[in-house]
Amino acid sequence: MSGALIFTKVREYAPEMITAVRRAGFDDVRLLVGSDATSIGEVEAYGLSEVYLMEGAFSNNSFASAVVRCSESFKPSVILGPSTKDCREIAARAAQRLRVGCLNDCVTIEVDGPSLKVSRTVYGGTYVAEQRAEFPVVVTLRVGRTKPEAVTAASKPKITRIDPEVDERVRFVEMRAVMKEAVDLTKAEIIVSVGRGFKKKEDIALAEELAREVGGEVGCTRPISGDLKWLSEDRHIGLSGKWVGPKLYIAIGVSGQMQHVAGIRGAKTIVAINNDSNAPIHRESDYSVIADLYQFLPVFIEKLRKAKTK
Amino acid sequence: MEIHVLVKQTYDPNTLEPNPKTLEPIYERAQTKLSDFDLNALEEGIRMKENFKGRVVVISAGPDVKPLLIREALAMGADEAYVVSDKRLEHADGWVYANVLASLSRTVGNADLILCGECSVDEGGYQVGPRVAEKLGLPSVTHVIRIHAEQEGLRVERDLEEGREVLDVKLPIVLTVGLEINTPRLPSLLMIRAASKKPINSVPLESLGLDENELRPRVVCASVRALKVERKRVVISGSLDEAAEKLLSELVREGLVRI
Repeated sequence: MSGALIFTKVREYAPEMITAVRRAGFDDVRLLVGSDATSIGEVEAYGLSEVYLMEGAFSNNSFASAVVRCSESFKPSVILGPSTKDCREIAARAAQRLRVGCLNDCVTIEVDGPSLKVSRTVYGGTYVAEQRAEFPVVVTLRVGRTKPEAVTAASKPKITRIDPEVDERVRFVEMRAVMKEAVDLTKAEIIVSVGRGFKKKEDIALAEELAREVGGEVGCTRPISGDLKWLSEDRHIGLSGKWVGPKLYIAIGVSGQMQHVAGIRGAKTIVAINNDSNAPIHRESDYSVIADLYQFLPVFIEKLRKAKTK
Repeated sequence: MEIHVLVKQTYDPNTLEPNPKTLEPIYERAQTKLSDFDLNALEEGIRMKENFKGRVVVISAGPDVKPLLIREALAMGADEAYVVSDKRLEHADGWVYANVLASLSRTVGNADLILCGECSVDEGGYQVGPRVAEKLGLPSVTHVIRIHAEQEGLRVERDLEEGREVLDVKLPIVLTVGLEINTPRLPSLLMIRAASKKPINSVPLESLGLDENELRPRVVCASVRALKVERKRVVISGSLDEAAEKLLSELVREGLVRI
């Protein structure tokens, strides 16, 4: 086993990725980062022998070329980046060029002889797979799971500048900010979730009323924020949205499609209110009420209010 | 415009029940379907064809590709299909699939646009699109949520963690898409009937000219187990009033709702 190459377009992810490979047993860790020299000081503390800096604007395609160039000179066993949308694409392209395996969106990594053993979720988050690839291998790791740990007496890494390969075929135009409300559902204790059982946008007021009474936030399934745009995208829970873990999740008019359920597996208790007794959500719930939400919610909210004033 | 859409046949996770003892999935009882995001790719390809003329070719590979599912893709509006169905792809990983699909696409002809789902619903590997691009020497853009045709090439929008990225790209290119881009159409009876006349071309794996190394998987799957979250599955019955009362008392008893 030789060293590990960390690659990330965004410097902020570097400390936890460096820590993750050091914990897996790698001592010679080098970093390729899309950043300039001024901000690199703070990642040195995590233990690096070399930093490759790529400044300026570049496409994912040309960042992948840089990953390949660094790998060819340094010959690492593991090439690892954060599991972001950009870095997963970079990982796949670099792996293809290096003719090696790629394991995207890993939950854990572990060295096992001349190979890397990882765990990943498959089948839309319903199963966990243990997979293995021989060195060298390109990997992306889920972010926010490794607490960065500085190394005592870290030595100063060598700095090497890398020129981005010019790619005329993909031209950056702009990055638009997306309108977001100030809500972080991943930190919510109670979530009241809105599904297609709601017939009109105005009816969401019912869910909002319940959320106020129980002290929770309102979330939703993809059609509500995506196709219908009744709620903002940061309230979208599921495979392509937020993965949440509240102590109480109340799913109202939610059918329980696999894509949505993947995002609520971390919930401690799930309550489903849905008039279709065959809806898959009932199989994923602790408590099911098979009733029309328009009839049930007003009665339930009223009872809750009365109980509070008693 | 020559549009190739890569589609994968997968097990439907909604029908993939785990063995209660081993927690391993019972594949024999699961249904197969076309991977969700690939249907979004197909829908987008068909819309491009409707607006700019040309043809949409479905490209698929797997250990046992069901013609019925390929017919479904043709019924949505694709013109023809090229399929490699070969037992040797049983343990194929992203490397092998990309080599097979890229070679198959090249065999069919030079595509202006190759579309596929950002990941498959079974493996969730997020790699076949960019790998195919690399193999064909093309640029790629992933997680595309909007495509506009421009004078030269396309303007695409990507949904990223930090915002919405806008790019101008030249053809030919590989784009990957997710659920956000569109809602795939349900084919009408007429379209289903018309699809029975469209050609499904079966291509032997040998004819693609891939060597042993290109067909050797890099990733081995050691085990697959259900992520088990035990739920109580208590059904609260009775009149509206009774059900509301019962639910409230359960939530209060568990300390989930404070009154």
